[in-house]
Amino acid sequence: MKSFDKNELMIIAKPKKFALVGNPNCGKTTLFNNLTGSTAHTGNWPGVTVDRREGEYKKCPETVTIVDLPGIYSLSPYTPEEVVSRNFILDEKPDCIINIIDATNLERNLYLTTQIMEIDVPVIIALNMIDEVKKSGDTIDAAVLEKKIGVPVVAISALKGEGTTELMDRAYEIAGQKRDGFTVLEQSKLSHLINDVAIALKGQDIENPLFHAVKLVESDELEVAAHKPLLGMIDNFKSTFQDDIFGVDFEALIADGRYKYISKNYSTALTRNSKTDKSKLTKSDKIDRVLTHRIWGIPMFLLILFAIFHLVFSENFLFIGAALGKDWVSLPGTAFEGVFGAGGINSPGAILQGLMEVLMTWITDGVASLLVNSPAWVTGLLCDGILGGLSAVLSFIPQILLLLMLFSILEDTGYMARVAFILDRILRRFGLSGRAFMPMIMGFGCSVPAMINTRTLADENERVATVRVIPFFSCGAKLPILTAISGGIVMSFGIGNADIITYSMYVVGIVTAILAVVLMKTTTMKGDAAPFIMELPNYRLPQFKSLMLLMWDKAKHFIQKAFTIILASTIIIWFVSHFSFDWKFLEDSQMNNSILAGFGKLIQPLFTPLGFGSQLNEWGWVFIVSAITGLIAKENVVATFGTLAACIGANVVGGADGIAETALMIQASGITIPALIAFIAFNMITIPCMAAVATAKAEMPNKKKFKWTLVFWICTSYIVGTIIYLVGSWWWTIFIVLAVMALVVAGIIIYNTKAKIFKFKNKKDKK
Amino acid sequence: MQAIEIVVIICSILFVIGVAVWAFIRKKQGKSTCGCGECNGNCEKCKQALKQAREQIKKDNEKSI
Repeated sequence: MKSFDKNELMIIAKPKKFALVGNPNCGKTTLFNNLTGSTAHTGNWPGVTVDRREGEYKKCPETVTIVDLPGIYSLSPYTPEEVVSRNFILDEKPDCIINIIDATNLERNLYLTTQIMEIDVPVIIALNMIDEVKKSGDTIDAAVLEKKIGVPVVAISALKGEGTTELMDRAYEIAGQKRDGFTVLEQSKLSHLINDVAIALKGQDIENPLFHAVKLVESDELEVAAHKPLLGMIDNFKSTFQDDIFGVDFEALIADGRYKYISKNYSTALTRNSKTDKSKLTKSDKIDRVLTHRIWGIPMFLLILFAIFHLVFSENFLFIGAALGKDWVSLPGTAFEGVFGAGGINSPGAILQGLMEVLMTWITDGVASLLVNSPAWVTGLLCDGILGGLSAVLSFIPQILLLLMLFSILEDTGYMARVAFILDRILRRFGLSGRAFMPMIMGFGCSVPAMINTRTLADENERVATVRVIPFFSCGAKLPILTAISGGIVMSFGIGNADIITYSMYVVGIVTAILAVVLMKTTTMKGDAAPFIMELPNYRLPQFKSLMLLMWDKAKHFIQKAFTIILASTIIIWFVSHFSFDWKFLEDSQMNNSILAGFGKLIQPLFTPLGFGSQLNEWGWVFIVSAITGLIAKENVVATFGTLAACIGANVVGGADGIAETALMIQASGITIPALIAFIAFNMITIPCMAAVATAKAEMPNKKKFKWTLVFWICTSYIVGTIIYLVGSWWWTIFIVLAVMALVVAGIIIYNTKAKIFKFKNKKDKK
Repeated sequence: MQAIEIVVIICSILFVIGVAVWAFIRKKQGKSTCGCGECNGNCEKCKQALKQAREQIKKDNEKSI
């Protein structure tokens, strides 16, 4: 008989699958990252994970697949991501469920545990955040808890990696073993009914009969549909049953039974610190009193947002430039001229951007010196086309990473979850819940995961409206456009601070999003906002390691994109800007006769109301083609500036970076400040990159809604751009804009009133 | 035409085609090319989960009505 060695057996055997299951924000993804070495997005708010993700743990005798599931409070799903978790647990039969419990909220987390225990699958409990429990002076005896629950319990700190090896070793030991489900409802008034239904289900060879029996008694929608013949048994019981408090609401009765059991049996493992004065405010409470204040909460948020932008973009850090004198840090005549400031001190973000610019200039000069004897067009393609385009984008990496890191700190500390609550008061008036704000905030990083996160919203209209406005929250890819044009305005016109312009544009995006939602919810998507119930996480200090991992991950993806999509785009742009329609090669000075220029000039008149159309001179088409290339990836806008500006070759102060190249385009085209602001707004609000469009398509309930979404993006960006250009160029046009807006509002009110009257009359007639 | 010119032209064309193929494959796999590293919700697994979830929500909504 053939014998198998260990390696052969490993190939034949299916790898073991462990599922991470727990309440939202209990640290599942942190544990997942810790076990698998992944860099999945984590955040200190419930609902970060909306889809399952898999990774490998290699420290067990054989490689184990770890599946991270969206957080759930119970196994009865209410939102799309909760369905994902339930379906996985029941249908894909993991070899072991690692139930992660937030030890600081023991009772509430054990509610889910009592449901998981009813499934016939090995379970192990990971008592997470045990370090925080210790810090508060409380103690949880894991051994006592293990004895009471009857499944292994391991205390861990996923963030610090403590106890995770023991957890995995014990999980591996029990994985694949047979375990019969157990319910804590044995003492409940419904225990006989549950047992009878379970026996009936077992007789039908149904897997996990106890779990299904409890859910069927609860009248869970999925179970009722699947086991209709057994409903008679439950209805018979109901007809003879009456509880003093819950009546025949079995769902409530079962929930009550679970909590009573937890409180009586499991909570004894927790010993509270006797010295803790419960009436005294905790640190989190004290901070909340300031940051979530009814009146000051929103101004505080705007101030924090401004501080972040000031730290990342300002060229007059802390506004102390005038006090220090003009040439204090400008280092004239050196390679670092202007890096640390010119007329003011640069913010950390601006200094990093300056250093990157120096590096890119060295690289460009180095490559140019190597190509001295090459044909002019080869030098042009490699230096102006490719390096010009790439350096324009890459020079913004430090600022993008710094901004994302600061946003991530706000998220990790738990502040962003608070902002959702503050904004709930405002958003609710317009038919959106504060929950919708969380995916919008994610949109500051990237629209793709943000749109996917809208699955946490239970209402379809709310989900569609949120997906539509997510691109208005400028993502990292749009940052180069904002920074390059803001910097270009400062450099060309000598006015304003780049950070104030950038910050204002972010606020314009947020305001446009709110107005757009108001418009949708009062016209085509009427309906009340779903109730917003979210557990406020405790304030936590962000972990240095996770911040660095996030930055590394973002940098890696940004560079990958720069050297694939953007690099390919710059090559194409250079070629189509250096060939005429009759395929003749054109010199830089003849670019106005190129295929690209021809295409740009053709649609240029369309953008006249936005200020970058026919009113610009012969180079005006550059702005049009930049906006079009931005539809592939938003970084392409600045990359196109870089490629084309390097070819125009006018004298402009600065090196090989997006700001100098944008300033060159501004000078060459004769564009005005209002038109530039309108250009930023148009690019921020219009159709996002291809990846985001594909995601929006997937998240929309049907094709019709997706098509309307595209129309919505185009129209909104066009209108906002036009308003900015008109009001910026001729201030008195604000009155025309306000009059038109008043007419629209009046029209909506009249239409809604008429619709109400019509509805009322119809009802009356029917009666 | 110099050798370097031929090399640059061939490399440029191959690179652009390569990126287009790479982007197409990523799209087929349901992975995004936006650089955030997340799936863009178009893979079979996501589509299935979304479909199930929508049906579930529809039922829940009907139930609540």
